Amino acid sequence: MSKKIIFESSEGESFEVDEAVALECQTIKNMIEDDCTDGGIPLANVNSATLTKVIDYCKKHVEAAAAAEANAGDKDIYGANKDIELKTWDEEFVKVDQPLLFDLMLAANFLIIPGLLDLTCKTMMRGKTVLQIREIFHIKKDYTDAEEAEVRKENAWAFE
Amino acid sequence: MRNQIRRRGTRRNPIRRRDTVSEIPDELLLTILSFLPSKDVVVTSAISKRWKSLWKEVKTFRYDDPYPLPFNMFTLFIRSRSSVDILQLKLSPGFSRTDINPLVNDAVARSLRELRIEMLYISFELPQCLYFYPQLETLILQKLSLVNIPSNVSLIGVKKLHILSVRFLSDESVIKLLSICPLLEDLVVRRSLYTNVMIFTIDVPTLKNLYIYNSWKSRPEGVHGFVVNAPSLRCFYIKDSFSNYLRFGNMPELVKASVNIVCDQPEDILGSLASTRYLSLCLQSPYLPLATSFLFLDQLELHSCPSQWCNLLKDAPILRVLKLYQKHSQSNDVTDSWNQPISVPECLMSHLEIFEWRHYNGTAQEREAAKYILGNASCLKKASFYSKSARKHDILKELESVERGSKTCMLVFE
Repeated sequence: MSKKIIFESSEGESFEVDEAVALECQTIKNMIEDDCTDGGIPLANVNSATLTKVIDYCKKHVEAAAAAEANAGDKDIYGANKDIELKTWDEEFVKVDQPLLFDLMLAANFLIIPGLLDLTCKTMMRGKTVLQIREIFHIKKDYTDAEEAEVRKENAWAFE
Repeated sequence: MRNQIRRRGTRRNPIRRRDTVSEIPDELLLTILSFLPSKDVVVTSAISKRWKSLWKEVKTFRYDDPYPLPFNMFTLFIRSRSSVDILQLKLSPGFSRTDINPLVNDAVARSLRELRIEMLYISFELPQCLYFYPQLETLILQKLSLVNIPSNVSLIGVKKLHILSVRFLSDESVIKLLSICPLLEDLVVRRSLYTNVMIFTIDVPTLKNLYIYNSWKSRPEGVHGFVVNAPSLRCFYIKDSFSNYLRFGNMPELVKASVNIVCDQPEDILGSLASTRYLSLCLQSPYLPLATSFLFLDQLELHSCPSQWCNLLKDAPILRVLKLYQKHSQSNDVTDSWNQPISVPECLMSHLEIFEWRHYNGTAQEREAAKYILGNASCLKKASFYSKSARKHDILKELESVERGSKTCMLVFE
């Protein structure tokens, strides 16, 4: 059998994945190279629900790379249409509620999964108004009304 | 012991719902912002005090038309910034050089490093200010009609160039564009119906990475193709089901090649790839030439390939990894044809460690090939077979009973 890596979520739940899948995470890749993954990798800041999704993402992308006729330099290609299926899958993948999307982004940032980080970042604030962003991310408005008006006035063109 | 320590560690970090942006470092917020059109980036200033000035750090500027912002407002905005790293413009018909050139000028004056322009096949002339401007490293041109490339100019800093469905005046225009990029290392070419080029000549001595996409289902009328002369190339990717004229020069530095083409005379093509260490091959050709030596080949992936594919084993004496992928709906599948070699290839006796076969169906031909490789590969460490056949269980069971040349070989079935 191929080598397995064990992740442990913040709840202490174990997740066994193929080494190839774990290698999608740059952080883990470094650990594997340094040979310090025995006994599992505790991920104190990634919960089980998020970790499940992260593993799904990595699995899909490992499979896609294996199935693709070749895998040279895909990342660099803007708008190349060879991965339409994978792109569609990605789009579906990030159709989750905002808290989970948020956790996914933090996990991608922490584990260093560039594709997932781009994907979640891209989706995070697209087409949102100021009010929506505040609501979604529980940001307290700490401007007074006058201060906010001032900010809006400074760059009035953007708020038209 | 390890577990205990870990649990304690977990307890010290109680599970929280991380659902406020306040926990994100500025660096990550800037990444998020760099994906937004510039107008939306500025709008975030009204969120809270923390966000008030964050947008000023964003150095990527995007304008996508149609967009609820007049272009001249965007130009003024660029002018108000002190530094512009990346400029991405997606413009609809109706924009002309009088709109674009002043904007690019301003961006150049603000240390522009990357420019991307998509224009839906409007005539486009590279703004003068880009010539002899050393800081521009990346130039991405998409769906535009490139005209008037002057002589005696140079894109002196450009290392990455993408020409994606760009329309040229003639074959010579391509040569001219490439000739004014003296430091070019990465080139991406995507052809489309509108490209208006018969033969793409890529004659770039500094080129290290080349990606070519040209896949249409139809076959061309007349001569269409690529001539590649890039002696420093290290990574070569070509997916081209359209061209009927492909000529590649020597690539002695080649490390990685992925070649998916239709070609009538594969000798020269394979000869150019002889130095590569990694090769992914999907070749639609009537035959496979004999005696191309791949002296450095470490990994080989075969997709579609003519029937003499086992010759490749003979020609690759240090091959360590062999992967077979069956492609559906093609006449010359790797797996349809197996001609047993007269003598056991050297790589099987001394190097092959990993053997993988996807979509293994257990036909008589496939069985012969699998038996031969398992039986003769004396240092094989791992052989994997993936099957989706309904008889999967029997097929794999049968393989298990095959006598193996390597006593330490692990068999994996999925």
